[in-house]
Amino acid sequence: MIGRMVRQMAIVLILGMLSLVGAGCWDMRSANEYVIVSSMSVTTGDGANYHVYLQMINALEFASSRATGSTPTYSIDAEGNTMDEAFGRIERKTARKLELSHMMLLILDAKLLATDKGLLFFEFLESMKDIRNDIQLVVSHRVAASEFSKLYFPEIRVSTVKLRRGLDSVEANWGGSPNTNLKQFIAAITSEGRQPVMSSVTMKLPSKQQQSVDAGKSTDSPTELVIDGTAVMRRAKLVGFLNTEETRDLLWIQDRIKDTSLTVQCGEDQYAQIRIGRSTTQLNVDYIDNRPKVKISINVEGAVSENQCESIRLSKISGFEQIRKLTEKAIQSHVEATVAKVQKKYGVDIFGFGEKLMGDHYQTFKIVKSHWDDEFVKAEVAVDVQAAIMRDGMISENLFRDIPGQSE
Amino acid sequence: MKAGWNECKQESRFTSALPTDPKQTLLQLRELFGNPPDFQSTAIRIGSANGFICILKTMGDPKTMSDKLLVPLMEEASQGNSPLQFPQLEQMRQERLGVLPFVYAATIREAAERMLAGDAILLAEGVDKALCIEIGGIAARSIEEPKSQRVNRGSDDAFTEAMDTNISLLRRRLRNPLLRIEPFTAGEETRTSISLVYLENAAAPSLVSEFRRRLTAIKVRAIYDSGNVEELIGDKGSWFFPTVLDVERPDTVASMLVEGRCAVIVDGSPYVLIGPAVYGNYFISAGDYYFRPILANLIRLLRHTAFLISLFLPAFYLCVINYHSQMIPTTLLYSISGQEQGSPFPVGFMLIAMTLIFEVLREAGTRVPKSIGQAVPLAGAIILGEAAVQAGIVSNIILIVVASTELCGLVTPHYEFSNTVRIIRFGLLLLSSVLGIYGIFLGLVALVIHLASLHSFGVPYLKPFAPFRWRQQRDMLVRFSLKNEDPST
Repeated sequence: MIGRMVRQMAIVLILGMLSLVGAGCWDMRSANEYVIVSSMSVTTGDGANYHVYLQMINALEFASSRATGSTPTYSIDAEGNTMDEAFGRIERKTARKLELSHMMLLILDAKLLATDKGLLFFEFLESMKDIRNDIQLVVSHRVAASEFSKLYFPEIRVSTVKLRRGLDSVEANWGGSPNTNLKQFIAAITSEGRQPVMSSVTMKLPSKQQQSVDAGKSTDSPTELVIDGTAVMRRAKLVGFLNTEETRDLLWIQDRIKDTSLTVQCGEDQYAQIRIGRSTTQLNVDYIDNRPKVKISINVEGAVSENQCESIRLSKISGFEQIRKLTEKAIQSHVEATVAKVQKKYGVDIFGFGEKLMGDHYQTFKIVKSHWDDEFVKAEVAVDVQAAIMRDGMISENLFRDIPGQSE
Repeated sequence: MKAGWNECKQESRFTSALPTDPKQTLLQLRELFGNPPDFQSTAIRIGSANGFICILKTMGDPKTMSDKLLVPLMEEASQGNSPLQFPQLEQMRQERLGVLPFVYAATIREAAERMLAGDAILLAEGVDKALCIEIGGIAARSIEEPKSQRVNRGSDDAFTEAMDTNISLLRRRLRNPLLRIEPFTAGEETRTSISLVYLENAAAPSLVSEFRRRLTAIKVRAIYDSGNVEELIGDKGSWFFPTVLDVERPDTVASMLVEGRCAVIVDGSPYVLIGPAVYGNYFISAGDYYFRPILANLIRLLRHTAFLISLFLPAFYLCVINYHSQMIPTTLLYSISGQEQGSPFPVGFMLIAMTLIFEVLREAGTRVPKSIGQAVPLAGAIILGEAAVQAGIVSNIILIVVASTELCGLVTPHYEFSNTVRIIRFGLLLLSSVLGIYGIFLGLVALVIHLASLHSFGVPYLKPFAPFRWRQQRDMLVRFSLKNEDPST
């Protein structure tokens, strides 16, 4: 009895000691000992493999009682043959530890992705424990990646937070950005039936003025952040870009459209606007006669938000029917064109047709998986769109019919 | 040291039968008390005999005595000098004194104890018994509002120091002949009277006998308050958690009695003890039953949440800031980090220091003379907090954490439970400052194990959650609405 109690006590003691050893004060980082990093931009270095720019938070500016109006963020850069070397150099510059877990955005320079160093870089990201795997990856298009971390916008003072929110909003409200976080990217890059994509971002009129806190004093901000579509990759290498319209077709095929708005032409210089509120896509991939057969069925539900067309009268059911047909046609032709463009121009299956084939017909896929991208180029793609236009705006009759002298 | 009353009352001079000569008895009594100034005695005529009446005027009101005793006896008085016999005295008592509570003391010891209880002692020549008539009427605080267990709606009377008043408050609420009151006495020097109260048809006999056993087992020199009794009859093994409920509201006690619990009233204490008391009881206020159930439920939930916040908030804040900064929402981290920039002390030190300062303020608030009122602690809190932030010693957010923790701790309707929180909170704070969130979970595990192993008068402390009792859930975490009972069942 006593022996058992002694043994139990001993176990508790040992566990207690272990817990003291296993975790403890030495992991401690007091809030005034580290500097928060909000984003990282990476490009190729001149003298080393990588050139890393970190956007740091000047936290004092975020405590309302202690803000002095100085810059809320600043950018520090260093080169290094490995990423950790670069981080070490930056830490020596800041004289403080880096808090990497709150990084929101990783901006990759197109230059870096054009070389083979990209792959090594992704290896680093996977193994770095401080970086969250929901960090979003973007490619800087036409401008250097480092530019994004130097901007100041008065409404959201951290430029990369603004960019990240912009990405989220564009994907959710329009479907113009294929937001890819680290986890999804790794899943795509290791997948046999899919090639990875990233959002592509750019900037209109980069200017020195936007790099100063004084940018908040002018109502006319010269520089604009633009989310401009998709960066198409072949594994870790960049092969090209898709614009936002084409990006929407990509998301349509992947069933990632939540909300979007479609402009359809219905006459000479006359357009109708369809607000899509619900969309589901079914993908069917098979391998027949030595080529993949892809069938994409898109079901959308929407409402007419604007109607300039005189020929379409929304007070009649036939008007809705016309709009429905135009919508179906528009979506179908767009999606088909985008798939064809990717097949011809880039030759990589960013849509995930291979993954679908793998899921449905694994034995067939096994035969073609070694050269799937070649098969993808040959694929026969059929798009079928079913639209349901439920409502129109507040008025069913065009206003200009009532304006004297305008009606026919 | 001389022998205490408890030992010397066994001596033969106090236990032998009273002499028939009242003068001698009076002398013995005076000698026993040491002839104090409040020992009043006078010679009177009882019927045809001589006698004495004596009283401790600090324990019984002399005016009441003369109204109730002397006036009726004087009317009866007659000339002559013949010693009385006991039946004559008894007959006179029945005719003249009617329903006045009385008892006959056969020894000096009994007479002395009755005097201490506030009785007038009537000594008649020729009778070897002393007639003790209850007088009472000593100064007592009148019934006032509850001090710590206030409610928005409901009765507003609270127990007082006088046992009789307290029992009367209970009887008024439970007009039921099955309400049992058993007297006990404890404290060798203080001879404090204690009453065990229960409803015979509701309380389990085993529970009542357990209470009896624990009350009779009390062996201490002195008892001044129900707090002493609580310590003696409570279950052993609880580090911080109270296992006996102290209540100053008669309506709460009455409802507990109906539920089958036992109450202990200690003379001289306005707090009545109730057992068994489990974890959930400390979150129930009498007011809950006087509001609509939906509101009462929400408020009860709020209390539980506030209790948990008050327990864990400082520890959680500390470990998140020091070890797990990735858990904080990004924009919040910007702000926290900004406030902590350049602060001279580590967060852990400041948290503990500020909590200690709040504890000092709280203690000062209790000690401060009523004439100065609440001004001192309140001013202290505001001025100290403001100044500390202005001087850059403490960040605003630490002040928010500490203040909200203290506030949340005060939500429990039973004050002693908020003291429990204070102690545990410090332990968790230390654990989290050394071990991070791991330490908090370690502390939480220890706490749950401790709670699960606790008992109050044989009832598991976490009942009805663990062990889970479905039927008892209707009045613990939530309160079901009141319905008319089905007559068919």
